[in-house]
Amino acid sequence: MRFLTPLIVVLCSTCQLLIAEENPVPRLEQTMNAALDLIFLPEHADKSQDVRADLVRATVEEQFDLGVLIRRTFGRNWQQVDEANQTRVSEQVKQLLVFSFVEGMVGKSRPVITFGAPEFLSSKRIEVASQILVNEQLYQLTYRLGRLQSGWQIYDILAEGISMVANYRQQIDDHFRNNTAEALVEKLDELLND
Amino acid sequence: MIKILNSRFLHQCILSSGAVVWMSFGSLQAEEFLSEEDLFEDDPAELVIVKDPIEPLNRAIFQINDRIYTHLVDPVAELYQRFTPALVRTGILNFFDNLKYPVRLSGNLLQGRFADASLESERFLLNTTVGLFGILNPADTLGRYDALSKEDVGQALARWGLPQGPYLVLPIWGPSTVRDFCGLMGDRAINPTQGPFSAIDHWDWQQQTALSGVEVIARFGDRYQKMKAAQIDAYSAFKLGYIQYREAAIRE
Repeated sequence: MRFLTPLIVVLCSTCQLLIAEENPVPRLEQTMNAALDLIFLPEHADKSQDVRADLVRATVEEQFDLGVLIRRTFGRNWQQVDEANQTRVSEQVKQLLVFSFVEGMVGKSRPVITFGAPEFLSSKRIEVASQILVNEQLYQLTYRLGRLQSGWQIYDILAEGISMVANYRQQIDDHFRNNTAEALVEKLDELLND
Repeated sequence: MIKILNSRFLHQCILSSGAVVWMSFGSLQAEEFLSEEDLFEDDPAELVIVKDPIEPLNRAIFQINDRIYTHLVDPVAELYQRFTPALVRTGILNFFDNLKYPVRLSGNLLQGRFADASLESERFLLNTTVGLFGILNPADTLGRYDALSKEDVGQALARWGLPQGPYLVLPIWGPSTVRDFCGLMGDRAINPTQGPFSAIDHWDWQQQTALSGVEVIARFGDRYQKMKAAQIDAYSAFKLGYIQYREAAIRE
């Protein structure tokens, strides 16, 4: 009986975890609000943009694997990047995305985000529509999430119908038509240093 | 000894049956997850094809436009923003947006969206009367018109089945396609503030049009610069962004 108890506990907790993952919207909402807190709460006002970007990234990565988004953005081009550069490029793109998000909020009032119910595209993919009210302007932001072994992960974000993944993938496709992975690393470095 | 054996035997039984349950549970669940191929391979449904046969010329115009926006238009817009109160600026934007009613009405009618055309007309009447010629925007506080999308002639041409045609970058104006360029000419013909085909082009609207342009740039120029800063290839980003934005507007 001594041995049976931990086994039951493990099995039950796994089942519970899977059931809890049925709806990732609360986790998404909580993550976005926590990220906005880091940008807009007065206690973070004295922090530099870089520090805030790092904090935002840590908060998001605690809940979601940004690597999924990056890997999907590269698509088939991922094979054109060697292992060492894969890690570097992944890091650079993560930094670029988070920094752009933080920079995009400069001079704006805190956005009010309303999340809709998840819409199942299939048993493994869902779409979550959200409305963002910022400076009296209303924007539509849609999150696409896929069910992975690690739980629901964001695999695309659509702003006003524009897919972030498709957009970056087009740029990466265009880049690899005439350029190398090393040139991409340099380009990303330039963007991050600008 | 028998007790020990029994207990070990029991232990092993529990562990192995647990492992079997665990593994079968895992393999059952594996089917419920996205595989690497599912997630990272190209999805034909998401593929956006853009014809760009004159890419070198488009890129050159994009570069010129970018310099104009950055070095000429942005500084003017910044000055305008600094010296014009936010309330006045919102009033100007509302006024010109209200005047584009004929464009939105035509876009709806040409697509047979009569209910939306009627709502657009209601909105225009309300904003023109209660909203003091459109300077105020009382209609948008009611919630009744929230679902109205901004239709135009280009969207109607798409609904009629006219193909998108090659991608174009127009001087100053920016991204477009052959179909949207035709739509734009249609919009201009029925837009009371714009020539060369404006139905009421004897009105001297040039200054007002310039003012509306500066207001739009003041509002969105910052977003343009921020978007541009995060792109690996800004030309590609704006090209695909524009095409996707228009496709989403047509689908709505």
